[in-house]
Amino acid sequence: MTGTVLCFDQVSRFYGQVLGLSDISIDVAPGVSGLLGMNGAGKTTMLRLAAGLLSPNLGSVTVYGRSPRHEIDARKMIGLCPEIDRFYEKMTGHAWVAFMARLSGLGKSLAKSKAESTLVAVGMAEFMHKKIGACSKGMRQKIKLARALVHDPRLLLLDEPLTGLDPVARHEMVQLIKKLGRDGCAVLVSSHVLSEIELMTHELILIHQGRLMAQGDLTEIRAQIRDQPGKVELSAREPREVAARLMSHAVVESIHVDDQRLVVQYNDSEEFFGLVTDLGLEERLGIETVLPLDSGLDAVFDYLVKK
Amino acid sequence: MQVDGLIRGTGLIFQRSFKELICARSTLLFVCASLLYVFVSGLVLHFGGDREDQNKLFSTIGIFVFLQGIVPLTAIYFSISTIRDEISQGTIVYLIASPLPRASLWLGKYLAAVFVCELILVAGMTLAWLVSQALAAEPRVGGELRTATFTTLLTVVAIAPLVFCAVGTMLGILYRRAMMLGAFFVLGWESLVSFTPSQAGIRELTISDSLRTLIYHLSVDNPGLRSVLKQASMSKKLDIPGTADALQVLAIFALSALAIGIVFGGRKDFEIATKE
Repeated sequence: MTGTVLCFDQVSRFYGQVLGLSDISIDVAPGVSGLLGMNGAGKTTMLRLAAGLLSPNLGSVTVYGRSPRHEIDARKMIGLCPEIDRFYEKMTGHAWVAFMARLSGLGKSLAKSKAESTLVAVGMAEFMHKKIGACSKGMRQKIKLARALVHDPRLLLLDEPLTGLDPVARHEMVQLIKKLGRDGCAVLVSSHVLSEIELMTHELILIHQGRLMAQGDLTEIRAQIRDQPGKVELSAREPREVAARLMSHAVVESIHVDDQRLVVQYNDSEEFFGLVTDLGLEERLGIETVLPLDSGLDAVFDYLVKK
Repeated sequence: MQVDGLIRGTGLIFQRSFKELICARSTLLFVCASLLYVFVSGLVLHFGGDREDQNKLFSTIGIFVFLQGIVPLTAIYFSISTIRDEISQGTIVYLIASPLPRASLWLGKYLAAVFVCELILVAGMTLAWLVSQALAAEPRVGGELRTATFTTLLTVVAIAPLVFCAVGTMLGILYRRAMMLGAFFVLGWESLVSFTPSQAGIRELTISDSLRTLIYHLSVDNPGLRSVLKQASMSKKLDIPGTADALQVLAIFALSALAIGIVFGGRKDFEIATKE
């Protein structure tokens, strides 16, 4: 991933006396990036700032070096799929997307044909001429996505795009988002559901209470958390002997033995996994599985929030 | 480039908003309100047309029922609702995120409200005229409603939405409770202040007073109406302002309201609730 598409430079945003975002500095490059945070963390505020709907109180937001709040050319490069489920209900999906395409600067006939091809691409071929008011939640979500994509944006902002989708639609949406990222579009997708983001990307921006907690690849972020011990689960034929061998090393902080399972906390991943590899070579101990319990997004997020 | 975008955006927003307003249920209510003028003028001319000058009756009702009440309420309602509905429904997100100058959004909405008002009000006025014309021609009434009476009122009725919709657009952009403020503007400010004695001078700060002034100057062959308007000014000493003064006041009202709306609407961050 090269080049910065979206840049937040020391951005703060207040809602009256309430702090929405505080001193956020991030760069978003082409590919899929996950914007992760709990409800009220400031995800929607960040996306609205990126789309030019809001202006920052401090700092600057730029898309390819231009302010989306003040420059029309910057907004031309952005496709926004907001969280709100609001439309002109009496219009058909096709008419609405075509209208939005026209607002983005496309001519009448081009807008119609682009609306059609985009709706087909998001899986709405069959229902594009149905009134939006009569569409299911999943269809409406796809129409919103089509609206965001219709003018071929270079930055796509998706606010909770999987909300309300059934498992099939969810899978299709995830595949589509990943494909857009592979095709070179910068996709910033927000969610408060960790597993959703994990399905789409390992490139993360984590925010909590309006503050940036971490940005980067999931494993890099995990590696940066040096003050928290790592945790793995081992299964072995001789769990007590494995526990005794491990405890003799300073890298191991604690061990909990339960039947054939051991849950081990360690403080240096490189040294610990070297040790486990050595023990694994001893057939007598019978180490069968090594399962990291804290490299998942849930654990990383928990660490960061607690920190 | 910016001007192209402004014109294109204004056109697109106008088309969309015009359709939305025409198809709205509330439009029917204002069509009915407009028909009230048809009913009242018909009724008055039928029962009183044989005793009074029909031209004076028709235009007096036109001014005090239609121009003073129905016209401003209709214009304020449509211009505010086309903006506030978009904001309260959250669909404004798509419009302000699109690569268009924000001014085109407000101008498109303003023009849509003006056109819808013109359609409803001019149609109501014309229908009232046709019905009154038919009643005035009855042998029992035996009067004559001059075309000039109609064209004078029609001209002023056509000008009024341009000004009232500008005020409504400004209120809609700036205030969450714009409809309440709009109602206060029409029923409070316009209705009360425009009838203060003209010596006070404050009545010139109303749109209605300038509209009545225009009618006064355009109704040269309607002495009955002129005397009514002169009485309404409650001043025997002062002259009614000239046509140019009235047009100037109306232009200042319309342009300053639109300018304030566009400037502040361009800077304003619209907070849209994310939850259903």
